[in-house]
Amino acid sequence: MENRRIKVLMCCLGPETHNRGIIVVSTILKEEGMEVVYMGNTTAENALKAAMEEDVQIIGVSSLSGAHLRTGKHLLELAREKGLDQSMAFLIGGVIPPQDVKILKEMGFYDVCVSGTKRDELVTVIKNAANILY
Amino acid sequence: MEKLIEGLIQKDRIALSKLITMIENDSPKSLDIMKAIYLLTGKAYVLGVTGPPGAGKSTLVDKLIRNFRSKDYSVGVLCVDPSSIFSGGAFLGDRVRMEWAYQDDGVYLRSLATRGALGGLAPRLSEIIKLMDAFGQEVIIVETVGVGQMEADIIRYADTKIVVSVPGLGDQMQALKAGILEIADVLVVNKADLPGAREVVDDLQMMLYLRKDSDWTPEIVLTEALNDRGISDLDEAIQRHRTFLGQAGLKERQTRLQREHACYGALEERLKIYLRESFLEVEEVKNILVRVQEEGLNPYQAADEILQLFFTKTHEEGD
Amino acid sequence: MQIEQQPTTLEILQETMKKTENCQVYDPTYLAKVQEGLKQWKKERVKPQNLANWENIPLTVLGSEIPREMIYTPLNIADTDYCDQLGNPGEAPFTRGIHSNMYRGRTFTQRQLVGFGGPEDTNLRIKYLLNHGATGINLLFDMPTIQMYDCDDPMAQGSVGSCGVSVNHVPDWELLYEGIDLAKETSSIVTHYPSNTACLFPMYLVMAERRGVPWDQLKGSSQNDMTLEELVRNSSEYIPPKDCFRIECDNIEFIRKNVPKWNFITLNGYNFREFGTSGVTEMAVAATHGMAILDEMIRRGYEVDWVAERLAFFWSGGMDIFEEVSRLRAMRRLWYRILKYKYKAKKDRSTWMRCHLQTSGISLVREEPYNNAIRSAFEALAAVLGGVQSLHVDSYDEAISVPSEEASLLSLRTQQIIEHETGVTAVVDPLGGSYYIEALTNQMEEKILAEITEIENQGGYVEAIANGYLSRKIYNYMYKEQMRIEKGEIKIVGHNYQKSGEGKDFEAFHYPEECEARQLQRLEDHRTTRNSAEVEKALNELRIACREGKNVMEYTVNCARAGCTVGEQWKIFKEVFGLWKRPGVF
Repeated sequence: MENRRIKVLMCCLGPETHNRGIIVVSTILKEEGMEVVYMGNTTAENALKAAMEEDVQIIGVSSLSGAHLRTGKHLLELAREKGLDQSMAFLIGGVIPPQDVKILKEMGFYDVCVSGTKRDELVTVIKNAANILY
Repeated sequence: MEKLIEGLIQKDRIALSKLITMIENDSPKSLDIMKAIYLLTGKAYVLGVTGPPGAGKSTLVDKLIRNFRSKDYSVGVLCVDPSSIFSGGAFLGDRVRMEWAYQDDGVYLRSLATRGALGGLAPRLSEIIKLMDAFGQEVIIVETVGVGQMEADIIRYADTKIVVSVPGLGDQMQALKAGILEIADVLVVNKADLPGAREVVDDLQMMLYLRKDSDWTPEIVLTEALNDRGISDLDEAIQRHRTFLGQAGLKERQTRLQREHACYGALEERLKIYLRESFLEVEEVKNILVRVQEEGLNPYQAADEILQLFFTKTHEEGD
Repeated sequence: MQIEQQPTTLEILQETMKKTENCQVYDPTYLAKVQEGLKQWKKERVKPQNLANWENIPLTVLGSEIPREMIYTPLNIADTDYCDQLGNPGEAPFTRGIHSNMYRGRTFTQRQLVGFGGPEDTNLRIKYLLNHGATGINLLFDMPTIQMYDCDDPMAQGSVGSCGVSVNHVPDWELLYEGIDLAKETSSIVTHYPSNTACLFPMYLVMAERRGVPWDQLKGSSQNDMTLEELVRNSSEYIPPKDCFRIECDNIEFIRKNVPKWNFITLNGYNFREFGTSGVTEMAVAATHGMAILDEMIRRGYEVDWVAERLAFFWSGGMDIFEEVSRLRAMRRLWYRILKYKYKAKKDRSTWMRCHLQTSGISLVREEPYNNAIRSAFEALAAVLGGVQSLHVDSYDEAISVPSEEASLLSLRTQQIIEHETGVTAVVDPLGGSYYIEALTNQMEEKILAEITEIENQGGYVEAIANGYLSRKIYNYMYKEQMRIEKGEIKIVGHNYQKSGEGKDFEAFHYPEECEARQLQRLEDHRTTRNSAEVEKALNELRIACREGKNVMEYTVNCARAGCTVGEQWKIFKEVFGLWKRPGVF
């Protein structure tokens, strides 16, 4: 499609108090010409309803308090139930130990961007994720 | 595409979502989509809500959502945010302020970026409103950011036009008055608990006094959206305007204008596409264009020549 | 409507501070000699490129970007009067330290943060640290508890026990402190916000009550800081700043009256700066916050000293060693001046800038985690040289997860090595008198005061939060710094400078995930065994107290006694005060 822009939904799942990650990434994405639907703190249900209505290509989760395995699993399971897992790519980032990266990918996350990931890397991952959906 | 239209009729939310994306992105199938759904439109009541940043529009819209949901109306919401002129990206952050859109399937909310369109409106806004209308949302609220004359586009698609201001705007108030205040049906003064609210109301009343036009006197409503005050007043003002529109035959006139506009719009679009994609590929036309570029043929004369060719060709094909 | 213009703190200080007899600090002939010598030196011995870049800005994470000269001489502090500006330690203006003997008398309390999983898991770690020499308990709660969601709330799902310990009601506290003597151990209970302090701290008090420990014997502190609730944290729900401030002051009032040895607030500081701002802004915000509290307590009819003598601060320790030392000294002097000249405090104790410091978490990175141990060690050293009262050293695996036992121990050892092996604690304020340190201290004080004035121009601390001014300030700084790190202007070894790519397979600590199920069960059991009529009654009385402007903590204590949970009380606050939408930063 001619004018299609990459549309990304950014959220923190559950009672995540840290928002440095989500703010910085959202700003970067906007500067790269993407449209960012900013959800802040929300539940998986709300995030998925929004993602569907907004027709985003990517859902990005920022997790800085260590609950990524459980909240990530819940999100992906719910997405499967609603039939949304094929039409969008799921990314997660933040404070995530190296041994969990593999687990998250096996769960169904397209990629994991741990804190400290460079801007260029991040943007490349997102553009690739958006492209595989076409 | 047909499957999506089918889905729309069956109230499949994903279908609506995909169709909006297609229209938003100028899919070549856009006109066909609009043609297919046209007969389903015309039922929704459209509210345009605009005003400067910081006026508390999103909070107000959120309360309006609750208001209409409590009366069992299905609600569609379109939030328009500006795209960055430099990067083309956009931050769509209105949704997060609307808690009444969460977990309620009776509410369908979509954020749109302006994508460089003039006037602070998203491209294809009218068409997207029609899609929501066809889907079945009975009340559609369109929220845009506006301070000047550009947002006068709001006239074309909104039944009731609401302009929100707040105390303490200073210079922005002047810009507001010059433009959209002239077309507002309901003027809301939000955050009315702040000092200066009274002054704003007086100011607006003065401006209305000087305005000489239709038979509808725009109403001024005071609200404190965050504290839940004034929402029912606003609702009543909207109802009164709606009744007025129906009685004065204005609704019909507006509908006629909208239909005409839609037709012309579609016509222009078709012609543009045809010209760009087919006609300009024709050998003689290409030659003329080359002469414009290389030999300095007067471009305005060239346009006339091409148009002549266009008439001749279609005439020939008609025979 | 005309709002009366209050004089700013800067104006008050300039007017009221007395100038003592103007005696020369340095003999003018001597100064002229130094100046001449310096000129010659610059001409003859200093390289042209150094002359051209005489002032250098160290670019560090969370730095203030104050330029530094290549050397400092007596000329830089020609007017700095030892008696007026420095004083001896333990005497006004306390620049050199709040006690005359500092660490010769009482060492910095070594208190490591602890908290993960269920109460019984954390209980074991507390005992481990106490057995290995920690002199205090520093408790961190999990995300749901901090954000006041009971573990069975949908928002809590998947996060119970991560990043801190899950505590919902008094029986959880009993498990947490099983086998630990409340009268003996000081506990820093990191209840970040006024709202969760009002819900959680009373449970601690009720536990003490049930064990027969009188409240006036309890020692420790709670954060109880509005900066965290309204400015720093991310949440889907906030109550309005003015109501949050009211709860904060209610908590202070109640604790001051009933738990006299308890520090009722640790003015933040740390989390605010870590979110993304300079050390100068950090202190300006904490100072205006402190002043807002004093103003309110005076309005409620209390004496300044009654509150001021127990106010404490919580700072972040950054990487710029000398800046960190200087700003601590500067703040001590500034706080003294504010309390003495603006608030007319009568007791010395009221003018002390007592503080706890945590080394900066954001300065630590994933790559080559052991480097972080070195970073924290330097930050800790700076804190000790700056004269803090208590210290927490971040663990080297900070950027990856909650600290492992090993990393936790190393942090403790860092402090012990500084104290017992380096000899720096033998002298009070060892860097005092250095031309550089005194010059930088003077500069920092000026800058902090300038930012205080900016906040006052916004209408004061509460207003600066409510109108979004402070949020925007953080956002601008944070984003700029992030880009500087990405571009390599701010160098972080191993991360964007001299990358080796090592450390990828680092085995991080895994907290027990089954704790969520255990906690859910425990909560259910609690709900069935408690007296629901009493719970209802206590919650209802809390509701009324909130509406009628009564002191909320008096009612949350009753709630704790009746067995109410944290989430149930937060819901009452939301109901009565309504929700606030924080102004966006974009």
